[in-house]
Amino acid sequence: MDISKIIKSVFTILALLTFIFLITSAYRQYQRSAELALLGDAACCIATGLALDELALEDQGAERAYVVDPAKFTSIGDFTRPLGGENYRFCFEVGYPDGRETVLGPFGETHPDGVMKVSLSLPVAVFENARLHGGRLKVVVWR
Amino acid sequence: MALIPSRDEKGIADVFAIAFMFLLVVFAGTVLHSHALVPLTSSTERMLQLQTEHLYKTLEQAYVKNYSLTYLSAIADNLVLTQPLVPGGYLRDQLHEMLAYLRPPGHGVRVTLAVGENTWDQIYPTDARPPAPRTKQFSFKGKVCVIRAEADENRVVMVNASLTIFELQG
Repeated sequence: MDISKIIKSVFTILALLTFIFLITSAYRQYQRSAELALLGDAACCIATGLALDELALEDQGAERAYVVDPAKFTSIGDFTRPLGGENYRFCFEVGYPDGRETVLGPFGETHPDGVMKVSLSLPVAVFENARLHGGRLKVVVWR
Repeated sequence: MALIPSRDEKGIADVFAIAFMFLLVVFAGTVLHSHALVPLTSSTERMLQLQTEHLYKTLEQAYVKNYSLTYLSAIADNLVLTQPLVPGGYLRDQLHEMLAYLRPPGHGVRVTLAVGENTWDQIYPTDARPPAPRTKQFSFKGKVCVIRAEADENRVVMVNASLTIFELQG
């Protein structure tokens, strides 16, 4: 066989292998990206539910959205939320600066190692010592 | 006879075919990898939009340290009233500290309140420039109500407020 034909064949095989490798790595990256996006959306959903409803301060019989009540932090017993046919687990903590940073929590189970997780910090007002402090609600979500 | 390619011409055609294949592989790789990040980018943007709304609402409800007045109400007071409850310099420092604590990492925050010709425009970090129109930014707008006592009756003044979170360059 002619040496130039061998070189051409080798280059063709290399190009094919590179193409296959690119497709598989791009697919894996897409899967990871889509998984993180799902976790991110779940984190948004869970954090919104906590800030606007489950942890919201009750004021004259109505829940005050965007204001969290630390007295409610221990009232949450179930740290699993079904969203889009999947069960997402989460833990949360609330922090606010009061001279130095005060952190309440974390509440819920700690996330296992080696599992993909997404963390989201949402600004909220924290009702503590009869005052409304600017603080943040940090939610960590995983499956 | 001239229509049949010589052995050398055939060789060049093969080299072109291989070169084209490599170009195709590089192009396909670039397209595939850039497309793979689209869901993540849009999810991050949804998070930032949510954080913008929450930051606005937090400034609307949280009290300025040592005062029982919320940040946005205190700023609106400074714009409307001749003798506001919270001094402007102190309020600016407290808002600076609050934005430093609450802003998303890698992002700046701009708080703007305006009524008539009076404007409060504060950016964190202070050395950041106002976001250019092409910078990725997320805004939330609202109104703050201030009651101003006048000679014959109280007057309600509506102050336009907006909060923008923008990506810091560099």
